[in-house]
Parts: sequence; structure tokens; C-alpha cells
Amino acid sequence: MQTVYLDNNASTPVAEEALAAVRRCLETVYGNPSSLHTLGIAAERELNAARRELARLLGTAPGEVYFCSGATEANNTLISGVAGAYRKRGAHIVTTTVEHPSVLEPVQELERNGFAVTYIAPHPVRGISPQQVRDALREDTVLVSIMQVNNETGAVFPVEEIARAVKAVRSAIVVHSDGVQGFGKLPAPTGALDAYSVSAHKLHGPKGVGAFYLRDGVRCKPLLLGGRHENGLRAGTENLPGVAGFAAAATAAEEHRGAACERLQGLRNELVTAFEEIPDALVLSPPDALASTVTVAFPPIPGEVMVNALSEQGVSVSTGAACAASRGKRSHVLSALGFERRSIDSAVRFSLSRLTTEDEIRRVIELLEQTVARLRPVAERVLQ
Amino acid sequence: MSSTTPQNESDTAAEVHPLREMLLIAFDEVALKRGQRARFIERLRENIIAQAGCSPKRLALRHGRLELDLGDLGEPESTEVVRSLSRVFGIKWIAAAEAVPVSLEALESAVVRCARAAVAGGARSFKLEHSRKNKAFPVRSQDLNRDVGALVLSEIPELRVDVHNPDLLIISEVRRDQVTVFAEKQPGPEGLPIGTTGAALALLSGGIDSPVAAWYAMKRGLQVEYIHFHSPPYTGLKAQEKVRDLVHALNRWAPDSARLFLVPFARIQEVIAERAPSGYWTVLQRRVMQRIAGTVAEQNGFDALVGGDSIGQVASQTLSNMAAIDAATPHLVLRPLLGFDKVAIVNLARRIGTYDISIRPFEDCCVLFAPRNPAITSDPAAVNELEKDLGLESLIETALRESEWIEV
Repeated sequence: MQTVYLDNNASTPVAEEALAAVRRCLETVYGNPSSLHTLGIAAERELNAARRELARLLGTAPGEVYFCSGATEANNTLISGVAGAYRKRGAHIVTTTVEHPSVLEPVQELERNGFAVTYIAPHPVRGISPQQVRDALREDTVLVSIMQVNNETGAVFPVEEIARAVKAVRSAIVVHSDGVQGFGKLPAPTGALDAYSVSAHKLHGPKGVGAFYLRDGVRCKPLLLGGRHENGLRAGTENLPGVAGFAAAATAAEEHRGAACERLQGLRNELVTAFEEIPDALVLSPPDALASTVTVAFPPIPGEVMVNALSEQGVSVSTGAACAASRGKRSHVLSALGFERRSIDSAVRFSLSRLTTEDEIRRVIELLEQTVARLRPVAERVLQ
Repeated sequence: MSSTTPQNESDTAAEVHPLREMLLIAFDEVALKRGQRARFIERLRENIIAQAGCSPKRLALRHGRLELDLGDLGEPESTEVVRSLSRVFGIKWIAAAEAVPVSLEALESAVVRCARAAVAGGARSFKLEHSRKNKAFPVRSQDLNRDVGALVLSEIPELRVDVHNPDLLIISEVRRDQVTVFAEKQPGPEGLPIGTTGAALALLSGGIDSPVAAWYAMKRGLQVEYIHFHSPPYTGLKAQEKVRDLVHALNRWAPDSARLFLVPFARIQEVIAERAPSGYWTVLQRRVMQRIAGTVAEQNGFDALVGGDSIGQVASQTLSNMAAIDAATPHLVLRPLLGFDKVAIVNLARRIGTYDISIRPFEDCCVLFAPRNPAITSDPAAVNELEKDLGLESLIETALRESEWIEV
């Protein structure tokens, strides 16, 4: 059975370059980067090289790049840490209703501790405008956090323009963006931002490693204490194999970015055209979404049932959110975008990567037509 | 109590070491029917050996109880053994004990050691209880209480006597061959040793109730294996993992790893949904499940089916619907939870370690095909009439052909 992996927004296969770097570090560079002996120095050099490489790709200085365990930690650190550091200046945060839980939950925790929060609800097609964000700012706003690319729909938000609009009002407001789904696929928007979170395993790197950019001079309290690692902002011995694998994966992603972008757009168009031929199918992703993500609903077939049926045939995709629609826990993203319940419950996300082939997309289209035709009559009867 | 069957009990004084640390394992005498006693105890022994992973040589029947010699087993290991024993059905209680030679000095020092250990654990008051089964022992129980009590008080000033509500009850038993001293009795799960009353096939849905029902069947000595109806693509792999994990959790209570029989059910559900009015979907599905389970039970030597029904909990659990479901097969269906309230079932599920697995949000095969308005009474004639159109026999045959036993 031909297997097709189209769940790249959840995680990606590891690129050969990354695997080689991880392996090399595990085998030979096993010293602790903080140690004083030869092996320690070798490890420190490796770490610095990776940091320089990430800085180059992010368009920042090496001293502004901090390694950590992944984007969840990066988001938690930056949101709690920055809000905590500027608490005296103000206690208002602006974010969106469609952020990843690793942004929303720290923000909600701050809300419970006295912060006021303005949640901007993006338009399902037009997204968010810089003007909307500017209108949400208050005298006491200290932090704006808006994701670069939404993980469920692929919608791209103009974070650089948003950052400039915010800075034009008051430059002291810290602007953060969760770049998990954007890094390696779009140019890094760090020039205008103060903080940016990225993760390795979304761009063919290993799991358990990520990084964040924090502009020099912006204050942030660490989440983890217990050492002077990462300039005191993230205690704990550095995950050197992970970091090296991350740098290698990010380099490869940047190398292939232009070509991949064009090719993915073609594959996406093929998918969308096929969806449009299936009766009642409804594409939920906006037309100008990132090419690698298409979310579509085949009502009334529950998204989970589509995922299971495709999985049986070797195709890995995801529901909009990884929870059971039948229990009333619906995707907060699709709900916030105002889609009907019927569409949300049926949402299926196809997320591609630069390794996705045309052959694979054709195979999926073929299976999809059959699968929908088979399941729709049952679903209609059962969910009448 | 019939503690005088010495033919299979080793109680020669020569075997007693100067000081033996052991676990006393008591079983529920009431449950042990005359004539079956030896068989029950042998089975309990086997189950203990399997579940606690101990050597048969260490487990001896003495004075109507099992003694598990701890030998040089240290702290974490012995705690682990006690934990395993607390999941062996048939055990009434377990106590860490010392066996010492039959002498007053040995008894005294064992009691003081026991008290000292309890004081380290926070005990501040104690009471002594002596039983002098060996009437040749020179000191009477009453005097023992007084003398040994005084010794404990002088040796351990932190302790005082409290005969009504002591932190610590130290029991010493003087036998012909040994003196046994122990304090805390930890309750066992009681019931009957698994494998002494037959074998049953439990229907496992993935919900909260069915694992608890299976647990009760095991508690009454039944050897239980499991059957689950899955419904791809209407149910996913995570739902199947959940059921495997439930079997894992239940296997912790059994000496052998039970298997799981997986039956694909989607086609049958599709046909029922296509040809029958929605009010009858649940009853029809349950009847088919029972037929399939009955066939599997017959083919594999199970004496009964076990179900998690509780009266009135959901629509299929009205008496009328239960009757309609039961009428589908001649098999004996045990429903240990009939009289339980939901809260009681949930509490038990937590205790036996299945609750957290059951509440994972992956639906079993009934949810999608559950009608909004299920019939709460079933007309048997109507049910029979409906089934005629379904072509069930070949559907069941196909489902059974595509089913498999899996080791979890």
C-alpha cells in the first residue's frame, strides 16, 4: 500500500541533513558545552555554530537566538516572561482568538492574574489587518502576540506590517509572533518583531528542540531556573544533537524554500480543484493561505471518520483539531472564524511539505473521491 | 476454621530460621467450600506466584495461611510484592511479619523491633494482642500482654498504651513451631482465586462500566478474556488503543495475560442503519453483538458472557430492551453492575485503574450509530421482523472471519 503523509503541520519526517547532524553530535560531540576540557569546547563550538546559522536564517544577531525544547516552551517563556518583566509599565495584552494553545493558555493565565486581554477575531478570508491591531492598543498595552501562520487553516497574518503599525503608536510595546508554521516556509519577519518562536520538527528537524528570537534589550523573565545557559534565559544543558539537527534542517529548508513554494502552490491548486469537484465540499482555508495547508469539510461526514478512512488506505491527514467532534469539543480556531458547526465537525486538514510529490497528491485525490462517495450516504443517514 | 490439615502444610520446627521476615497472606475462609479447599488454595498459590513473580519455594501454607518468605528481599522490592498481592483475588489481608523461635526473649525483641519501626513511621500509641495457640508456652496471654507491654514502654519512651484506639496494633501468635509478630494488616481484594469458578468472555466497549463488570467477574474467580467491537472508519486507531490499554490495566488483576478478540462491526452497523428505523438501531446492534460474542464463547470454551449494563442507565438498559437483547441468544450473560449507581461504578473504576483510560475522548463504535431518539421499549415481534431483512447470518459470518485474537 502506498503511504502518503499529509500531516506536516503536526510533524514532519526528518531530513537527511538533520539526521546526519544529530547522529554526528550523539556519536562524537558528547561533551557538555559548559565543560572546560577539549570535548566541552568542541560541544560549545558546535552550539555556537548552530546559533550563528539560526541567527543568519532568522536575520538576527547570534546573541538574540535562544535554544529551548520547542515552540510551546518558547511561547510560554516569551509571553509569561515579557509580560512579567513589564508588569509595572502596564497590564494589557493583544492577541487573537486563533492562536495555538501554547499562546492562549499562558495569556489566559496572565488574565487570571490581573492582566486585561483583547482577543482579535480574524476574518475567515481577510484575516487580520494592521489597523485592527492598532485599534486594539491601549495606554497600558505591553505585549502584542499574533501568529505568523495559522496551524489549522494556513492563513497568513501580516505580522511585519502589524509590528510596524504597533511600533508607530508606541515603540515600547513588545511584539511577538508564533512562527511555528511559518519559519522555513516564508521569509523570517524578525526585522520588525521583538520576539519570534520557532520549532525544529515542523521543518524536517528532530522533535524536542526549538528556539526563540528575542531582540537585544527586550526584558524577559526565564521560565526555568538553575543555570546560566542561554544567557540566563533558559537553564538546562543544551540539547546539542537536537540543536545541530535543527540548524541543519533549517538550512535545508531555506535552500529549498523558493522552489518548494512554487511547487507546493501547484500541488495545492490541484487539491483545491479536486475538492471543488466533490459535491458540498467546502474549503475552509482562505484562498491566499500558505500553500502547504488546505483545510476542507465534507459535510456531513465527521472529520474523524474521514481521517480514519484515509488512514486505512495509507493516507495520514488530520482533523482541524485533534479532538472528538461528537463530544462537543470543537476546534477553537474554526469556531472563532465563524464557520458553521456542520463544517467544523467535518473539517479535514491536508498539510503538505516540500517532500510531498505530485504522485502522492494524485493518489490522495483519487482515494478522496471514492471515500467521500462511500461515506456520505452512511453519514447522511446516521446524522439525519 | 479448619487449620488442621497438616498433610500439606510444612510445620516442622526445624525449618524455622532464627528470624524470618515474611508476608502473611490470609484468605477468606468463608468462601472456601469444604472439599474444594485444597483446590482453591493451590490455585491461589499459583496466582500469587504468577502475579507477585515470586519463587514457589518461598510460599508455604502454614497454620491456615500462606507465608511468603521475603528472604533477603529489600525495601522497594517487598513493597512491590505487597502491591502485587493487593491485586490477587482471594486474599483477605496481607501483613509484613517476623517469625522467630518459640521463646519469650525472641518474642519480646520481635515486638520491640516491630514497635520501633512503627514509631519511625509516626505511631505514638499501641496495643498488644497475643494469641497462645501453643499451650506449652510458659507465659499466659494475659501475662504476656502485661510484661511485653511494660518492656515496650521502657524501651521506647515515645509510645504510650491505648487499648481503644491505638495507632499501632501489634499481634503476636505463639505456635508450636514459631512465634509470629506483625502489626498492620493491609486489605486484599477478597473474592475467589481466578480460575476456580470457570471462564467468561467480557464485552469491552471502551466506556467506564464494562471494565468494572469484567473486574467483578474476575473477583468471583472467573478467568476472563475480552471481546471488542470496533468500527473502522467510524472508530479510529486511538479507540482501539484505548481498549488494549484497558485490557492491560485489567490484566494487572489476573495471573495470566488475557487476550482481546477484535470484531469489525462497521458493515453490520451500516446495514442496520440502512434498513431499520433508527429507534431500533441500538437494540439490533446489541443483539448482533451478543450473538457474535455467544458464538465466540462457545467456540473457545467460555461458560458465560459478561456485560456492563446497569438498569436504566441508558436507553438500551431498560428491562424491555435488555429482554430483547437477551432473547437473541441462549447464552448466560452476567451483569455484575445491574444494581450499581454511576458514582459507585466511577469510584471503582478509579480504584482498579481503568477510569483514566475509559474517559479518553475516543468514541466506541456505538456513538455515531446511536440514534437521537432510541426506542425504550422493544416489541419482540417487531425486532424479529426487522432482523429478517438484514441478512445477519452472512454478515456475522463475515465479521467472525475477519476477527482476530490479539495479545495486548
